[in-house]
Amino acid sequence: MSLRKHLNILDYAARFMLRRKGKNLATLLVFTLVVFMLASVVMMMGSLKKEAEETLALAPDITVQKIVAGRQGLVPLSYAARIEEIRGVSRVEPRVWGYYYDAVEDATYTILGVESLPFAVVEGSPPGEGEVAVGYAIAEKKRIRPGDRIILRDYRGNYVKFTVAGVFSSSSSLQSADIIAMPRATAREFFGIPPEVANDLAVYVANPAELTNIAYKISLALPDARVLTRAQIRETYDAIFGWRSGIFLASIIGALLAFAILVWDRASGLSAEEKREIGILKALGWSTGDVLEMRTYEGVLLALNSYLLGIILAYLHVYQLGAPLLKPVLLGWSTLYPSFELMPALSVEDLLLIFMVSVVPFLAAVVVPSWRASTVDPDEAMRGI
Amino acid sequence: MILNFWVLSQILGLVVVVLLGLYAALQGVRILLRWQPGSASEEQLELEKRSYLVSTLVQYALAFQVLSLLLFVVTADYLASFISGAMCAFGSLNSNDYGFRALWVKVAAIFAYSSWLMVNHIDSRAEDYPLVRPKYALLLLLLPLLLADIYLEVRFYTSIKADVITSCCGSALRSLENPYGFVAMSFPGEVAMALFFLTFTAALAALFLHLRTSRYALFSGFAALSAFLSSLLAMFTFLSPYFNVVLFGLPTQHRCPFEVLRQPLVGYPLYALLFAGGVSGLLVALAEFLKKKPSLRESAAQLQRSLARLSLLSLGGFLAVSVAFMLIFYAMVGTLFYH
Repeated sequence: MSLRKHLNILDYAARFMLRRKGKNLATLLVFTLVVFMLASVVMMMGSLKKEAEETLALAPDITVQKIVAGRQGLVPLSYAARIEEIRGVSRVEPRVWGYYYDAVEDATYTILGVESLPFAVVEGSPPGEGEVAVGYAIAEKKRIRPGDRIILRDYRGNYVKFTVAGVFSSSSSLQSADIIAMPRATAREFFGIPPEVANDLAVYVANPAELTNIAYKISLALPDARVLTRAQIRETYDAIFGWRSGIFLASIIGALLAFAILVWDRASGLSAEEKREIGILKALGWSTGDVLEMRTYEGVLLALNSYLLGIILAYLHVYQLGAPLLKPVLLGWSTLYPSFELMPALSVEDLLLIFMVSVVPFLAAVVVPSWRASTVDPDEAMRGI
Repeated sequence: MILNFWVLSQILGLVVVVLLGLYAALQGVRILLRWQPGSASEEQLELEKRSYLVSTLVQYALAFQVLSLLLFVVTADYLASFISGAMCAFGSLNSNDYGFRALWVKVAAIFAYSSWLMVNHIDSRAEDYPLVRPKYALLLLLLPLLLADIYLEVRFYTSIKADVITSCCGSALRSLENPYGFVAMSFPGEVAMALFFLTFTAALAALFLHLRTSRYALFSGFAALSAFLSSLLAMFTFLSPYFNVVLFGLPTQHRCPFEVLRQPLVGYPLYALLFAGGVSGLLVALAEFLKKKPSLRESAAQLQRSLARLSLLSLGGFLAVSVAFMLIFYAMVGTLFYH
């Protein structure tokens, strides 16, 4: 039982497979496709999660919305004053923002009213009165540079000319790609939001340990408010990403089963030639265990090759091409974003997970056929019965 | 919470293992009922062929089970991100009654499968297969373990409610109501430490003597298993803070055995050494029983030696890494006794 013997069997298994390229290539192809699909989803999920985490790092500690008849309404600024009275609240910032549909580009942008720009300006300067700064994705798409004009349609239907003061960017592309930032007063005027209300309130808390308690106090003081903490938003994001990819996996379980049956079938259907070869091996003194080992190595070699190939292809698909096949399924809000790149985020755990759903069912499906092939009687096999 | 990629793929993997196990058990029953050692009938030949299938199936099941234990901990760690209050695997495993039970069943299953595989391996190298009947009877005993595993795991996942606030390791391990917290906080650290070093000294000494003299096999196995158990206790009490402080700068009150896995290059090899040492140590003792059958004596003795060597190296490695972290801790903090 030396290692050398196992290596020799492995070597034989590799050559056995190479002599039957056509048959193995088909399985390799399908298997690679399965791994590719699963890995793309896992990778996309990982980078969306990372993206969301980076976005949330900028989010306020607590967001307060006003609910009117079960729908979100505008928050009166008097609420801000009441929240500020709560001990432990360091700052309350009324936020003015909204969505803007650009019919020309068929994309939706986010217009943000800001006092100071929360992003790094890569080109130009922060916006002053009557000026805007745009996210790099918009700048790229509309081919605008600082100093150019941009025309937007306000709530009355009038076309308003803005000078683009700067283009900004951030480490995470999801959070800034589609944003048009303008001074808060300009944004109010653009959307027609009266000065005594805001879209929502961003509440900052001095001591993070008090966060839950303060959120609770706000919801007591303002019964018609919806109070969201950053942790709650993060949990919701995580649950949604997990759920979306779970739906995806559930919907392809049928495909995985079909794949397992295909593999089973292909592994069971031994050609007369293969049978003869195994018969000769056994006549030459190979034991059933040796042949079984060889067939197992065949399965493992095929599985590992497809696995690696699938992972590499998925990596290229998701991070080089931006997951064109999956974005509509997993993102859902893809029309919101003109374009963005996903940040590579792949862990050992992800690789293990993909292994579990692809390689494990495959190996399980070939075990019985491999055993059957290795127990053929040499005389029967060589006579071709 | 079933509809989640991680949870679903875990369950998928387990279903595969259960199918393999059921199929193996079915074949096992057939062999158990019809086995006639002396016979040269067609059926006996067929049964001998089938025994190859069974051992292959159980080998696969074991390999998948190891992977599944790994993924179970990883999944629990991942699920912590949407169980309010949970921050790592401890929090999610502790969030309902099934988490830790499933974990312990999985750990026990690895010991049981490995034992069966060794008996099978030794038996199949003998001409007369002397252990066929006890072997396949034992195989049927593995089945409840497998079913308990999938039952507990599915119950664990379905019972997770994202809105129930659970205590995480930070608070639960300090509260006395939680059984694990009770162990962590009120089990005297000095006793755990003494047990840890005592069992390791005993195990390493016994294994070393066994390799020299071929005696003390039963004691070696017992000592190695005790060392494994005392290490688990240690990870819940005095040992984990050394890792947590050195790797992450956490407070010494943070006695979480899963935290070290957040640094995968340290955590996984560490636990791999522990499991390899514990399992192979147990098998050393088991091999001693197999040596009693004349046709198995030689191969059992041979395997016993390599297992003893493996156990010695693994447990020694685990001890060395632990002591190294204790020394780094000493260099950082200036004391070993932080209690």
